[in-house]
Amino acid sequence: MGVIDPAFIQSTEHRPKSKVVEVNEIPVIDLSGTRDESLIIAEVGKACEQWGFFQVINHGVPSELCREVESEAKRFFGLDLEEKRKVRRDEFNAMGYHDGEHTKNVRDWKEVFDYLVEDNAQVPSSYEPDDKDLRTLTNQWPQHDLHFR
Amino acid sequence: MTNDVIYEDETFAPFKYLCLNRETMEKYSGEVEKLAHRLVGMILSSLGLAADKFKDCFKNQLSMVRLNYYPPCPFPDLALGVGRHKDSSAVTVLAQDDVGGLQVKRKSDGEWIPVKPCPGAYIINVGDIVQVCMLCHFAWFC
Repeated sequence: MGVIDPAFIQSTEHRPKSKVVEVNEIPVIDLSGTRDESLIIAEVGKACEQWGFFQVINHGVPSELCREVESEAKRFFGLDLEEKRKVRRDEFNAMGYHDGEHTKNVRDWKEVFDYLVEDNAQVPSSYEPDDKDLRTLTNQWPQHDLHFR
Repeated sequence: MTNDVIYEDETFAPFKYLCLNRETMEKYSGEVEKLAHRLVGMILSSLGLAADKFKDCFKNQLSMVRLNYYPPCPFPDLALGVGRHKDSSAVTVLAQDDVGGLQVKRKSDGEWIPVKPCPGAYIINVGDIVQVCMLCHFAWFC
């Protein structure tokens, strides 16, 4: 089984519990266009107040497209690390592949791939308030792998 | 499986298609963005505010799609796919596959409870930005 890198270990109080109770109480909101909009808005308001989150069904994102994206993602993460790292993010461009994500200083057991909804977004180049320089974040796509012989 | 093609032309082979087809991924982000805007509009409406008031806030936006892969973990009692956190976004539209694993903190008692996978559903997380905007807005009028 090997030894776990200490960077991944959660502090005792935040470790996953082996037994969790499955509940069905998280609000599910039907977004069908045929439903009365004011009714949906009332459900959203109540869910935000009581939970801060909710689930949506009939949300309008085509299920075929969701399946396609899921299978594309599976293929990407199934590639060799060397291949995935060709599109890894770096200190200048935060878009692309990354396998060293941390949440509250503990490393997450996951790999991610990020891309912008609007490509080539301009962001301040540092957090310094006086720094007016901008840098550009650019989407990286793995298929842009040009082969010459 | 990759979509490799053997090219007869010895001098040049065009793009090698690996995965994450750009056209598909951009179509997807566009569809999810439409949904996210509808949701933000509905959250505003539920508070009695104009539903289209936020549109300008998303000019020069940094909205992004994150694909998450959680490999099998041999130390499930020590590590997490992602630790406890709030989202800093306005809203997060989250898809969960049939394996499950997402837990949310119940407001009433602070207990972490699993979100049962629901095929075709998204989990919508209201992020810090909406909370901050609402606090500022209502503080202004109070």
